[in-house]
Amino acid sequence: MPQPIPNSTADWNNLFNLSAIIAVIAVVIVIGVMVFFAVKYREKKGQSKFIPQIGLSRSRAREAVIFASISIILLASLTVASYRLTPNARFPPPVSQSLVIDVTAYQWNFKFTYPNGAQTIGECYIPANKSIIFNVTSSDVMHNFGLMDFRVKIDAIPGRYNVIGVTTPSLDGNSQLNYTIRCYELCGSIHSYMMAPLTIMDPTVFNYWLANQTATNATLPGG
Amino acid sequence: MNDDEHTEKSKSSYMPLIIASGVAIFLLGLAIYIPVLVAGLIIIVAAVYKMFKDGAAEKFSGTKETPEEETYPLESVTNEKLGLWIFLASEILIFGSLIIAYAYVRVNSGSWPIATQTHNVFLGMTNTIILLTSSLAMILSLYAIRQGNVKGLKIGLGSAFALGIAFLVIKLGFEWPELISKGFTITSGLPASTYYVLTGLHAVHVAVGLVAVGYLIFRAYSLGFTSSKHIAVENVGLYWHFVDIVWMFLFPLFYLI
Amino acid sequence: MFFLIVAGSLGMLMRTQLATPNENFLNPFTYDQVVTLHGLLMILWVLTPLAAGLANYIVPLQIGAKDLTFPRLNATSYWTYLFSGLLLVGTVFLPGGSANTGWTLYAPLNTIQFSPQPGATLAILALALFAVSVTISSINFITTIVKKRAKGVTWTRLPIFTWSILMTMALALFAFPPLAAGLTLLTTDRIFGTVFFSSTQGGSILWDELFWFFGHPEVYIVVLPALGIIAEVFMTFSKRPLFARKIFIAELAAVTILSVGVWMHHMFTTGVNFDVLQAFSITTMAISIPFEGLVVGLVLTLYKSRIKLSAPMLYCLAAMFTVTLGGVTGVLQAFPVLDYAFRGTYWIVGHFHYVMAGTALFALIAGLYYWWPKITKRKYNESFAKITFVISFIGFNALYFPYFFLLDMPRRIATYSILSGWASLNFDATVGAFIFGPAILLTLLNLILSYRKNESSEANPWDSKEMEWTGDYSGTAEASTTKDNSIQSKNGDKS
Repeated sequence: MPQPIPNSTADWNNLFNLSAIIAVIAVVIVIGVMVFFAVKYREKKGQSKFIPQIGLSRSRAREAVIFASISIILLASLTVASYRLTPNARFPPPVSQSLVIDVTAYQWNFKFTYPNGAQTIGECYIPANKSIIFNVTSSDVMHNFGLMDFRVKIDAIPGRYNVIGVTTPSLDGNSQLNYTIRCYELCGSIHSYMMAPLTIMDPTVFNYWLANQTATNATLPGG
Repeated sequence: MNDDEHTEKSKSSYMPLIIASGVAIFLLGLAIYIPVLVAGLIIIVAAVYKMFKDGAAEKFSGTKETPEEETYPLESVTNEKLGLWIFLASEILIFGSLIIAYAYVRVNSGSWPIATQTHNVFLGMTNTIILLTSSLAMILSLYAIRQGNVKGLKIGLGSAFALGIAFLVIKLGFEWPELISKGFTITSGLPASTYYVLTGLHAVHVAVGLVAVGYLIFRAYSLGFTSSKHIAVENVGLYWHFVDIVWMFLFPLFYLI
Repeated sequence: MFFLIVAGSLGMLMRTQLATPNENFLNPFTYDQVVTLHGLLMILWVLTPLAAGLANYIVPLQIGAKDLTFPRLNATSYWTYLFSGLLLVGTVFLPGGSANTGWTLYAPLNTIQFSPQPGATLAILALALFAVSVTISSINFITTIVKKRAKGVTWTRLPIFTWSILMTMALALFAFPPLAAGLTLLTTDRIFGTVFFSSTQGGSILWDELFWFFGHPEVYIVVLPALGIIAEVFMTFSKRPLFARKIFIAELAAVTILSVGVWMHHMFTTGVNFDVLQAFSITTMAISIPFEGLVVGLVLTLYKSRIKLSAPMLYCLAAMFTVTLGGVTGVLQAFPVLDYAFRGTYWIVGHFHYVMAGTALFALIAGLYYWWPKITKRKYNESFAKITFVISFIGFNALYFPYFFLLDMPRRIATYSILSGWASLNFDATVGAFIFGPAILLTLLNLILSYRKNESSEANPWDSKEMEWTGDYSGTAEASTTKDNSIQSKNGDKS
């Protein structure tokens, strides 16, 4: 599992862990009971009598209703929890408060266009402590713009712009944070190699770097 | 008695294998090499012809129904008719999906040519009336044979067949060439593509229907139908009405709006 | 069977390629074709037809009919299925090879611009031919089940497996036409140059919608017969009627009907209007409720029973395990925010292999073992079957369980770098594959060998009370499993 980003993916991890634990408990109970029955009621020698049907007696009906209600309540609460997390990605803060980067995926790399028109290919630089909005599209086939470290991804579809937003964390003493962007949709033979490093830099350094970029000039920032 | 013998005797047949291989070869040719496609077509045509000759509807019909069977709630529907209705359900879905795809494409595109200016509404309307009349002819032929009127049956079937041919002639011989000469070809853009695919698929269904009606005519003149044995007429009529109804949707969707 | 071996070998090829980083056993283009064919063959040409084949034999026996309603249509359906599969496998021999888009055939990768090889066109046509085969089959089965039941086989007494087949076939009737529509549009794109999917105006999403409207019901088509088989085997091998039979049937129907309303959960990352996606998330979770009910009902059937742990029972118990584990991982994917992370990764691969290679395949094997004496009047070797079961189960879990820990590994990649850290889990999975694959072959071998021994089996070796074994359709037999009477046992024991 990729390193979780503080303050961005903690919520996701919590939701995942909670759901996974509930899931595992459910599996353990159901299968545990099943295996228990399979062992306990194994046929012993000489016993093959057919047992008459026991229909749905009233106590069973009550249990069925309880069981169904528990499931519905659990699922409903998980839904609400998940719904509250979604706005982070699909509904980012307004453009005026964010840095907007256009991403064009193509066979087999990503091209990033920054607000001043500068472009980098195969690598992305963003400042820390900022809301970043990615406008994702493709120029040929369907790709996927995946930021696993942020636990988000969005499809890159030709003829369409999909918006995804993340908020970068603070650097916390590191000079930069390094993550990976990958393509998560089969897009041809070189799909396996379609990835780009994502570097989070100090905002001042980032602004300096960006000001010195021209289109297609992809130099490494900070010298 | 004769029919019972007929059904008991001929249980196995090579027809499924032959038709299946014909279709497979046809598709293989479609993908890689046109002559192979022609070979597949020849096989299919030959098989269908043989089926005609064997009075194949007799052979293809299901096993006889015995009164001891549980058939609630569809006691009064024969096996073949039920099968045909289920088949029509899947056909409704395929045309439905294509129509929805057309709607999706059209709603999502910026501009769309005005239907009444692109298509010849007069020819389209004529075709609509032709199809409706042919459906009427099928119904009348069914009424006729129910009363034992073989001549009426033949006239009805013949008219339906002729009208179906007229439909195809007008569409393929007049409408489409006119559209193509105006630059409205299958590759010229989404409006044209959707039109040709949908009406083309419909035309294919009309053609298949003509084969079925042709079979009925063939049989009316050979084995013959009676007032009690004419289930095929009803079933083919059902299919024909379905094809007509599909057109009732396509016509306004493409020609009027 | 043949397709199972072909598709299984393709799976083995993939695992070999992924065993170590930077492997060059298969070049990426070939690998993508292997991925596509493995998926298509397994889902469509192996799992669905195995179920239909069993049904072909067993459904008439269960309802007391002599044969299906339209025997010649039945033959047509079989031959078109076979030829469509041969066409598909044949595509690898064409220049440029076969389709390389994955079984989902996403646009615009599937267009002639990005997949120019004729093999891809032929693959699509083969798929269309298969859709025809399934449609014919479903017409046949539905007519048979509705109209050819013997006297006494009323709707409430209809056996569970037949119920599941009826629903599967109805669902197939509903699901395959949209696929056929999409394939038609794709074919005209590839052969006649239309622009449905090359178009930059929503072309990709149009394919997505059409395909998944088919694709989701398709996976339920794979799973429903499996549930039917598990129910039948549980009943016979625990000597108990099914718990809350009418509710079980109602839940099967609920799953069938709801399954047509969940398809956009495959499209959570496409950027479609989020409220729509949220609605589909809710329907997806809704479908898990009757599904849980089915699973719990099956488990409760075993309560206070007499269980015989023969091979069919073992496989069904394994199938229950996989459907529960696979099912809960599916429920996790129903939440868009979680799915954002899962989409396109090995978590998804793990989920569907658990339910398909696990539940469906295990249940089908169980069905084969269970009904083998009925169909072939032969006995297979029971101890050999148990041994291969243990090997299969171990191999299966070794192969697929690691996938849930490869949460960031993208699907369908041909290779990966050693820096990703995925190497050891991938290696473990490949080891599992080399256990699981041969185990399946051994299973088949066991069945084939039963012919060599020429030892015929007795008429009802499992001492089952089900109608296909007893031949008694009128329901007058005592304590029939299809009777839904609420008998209290003699000591007033209410459980």
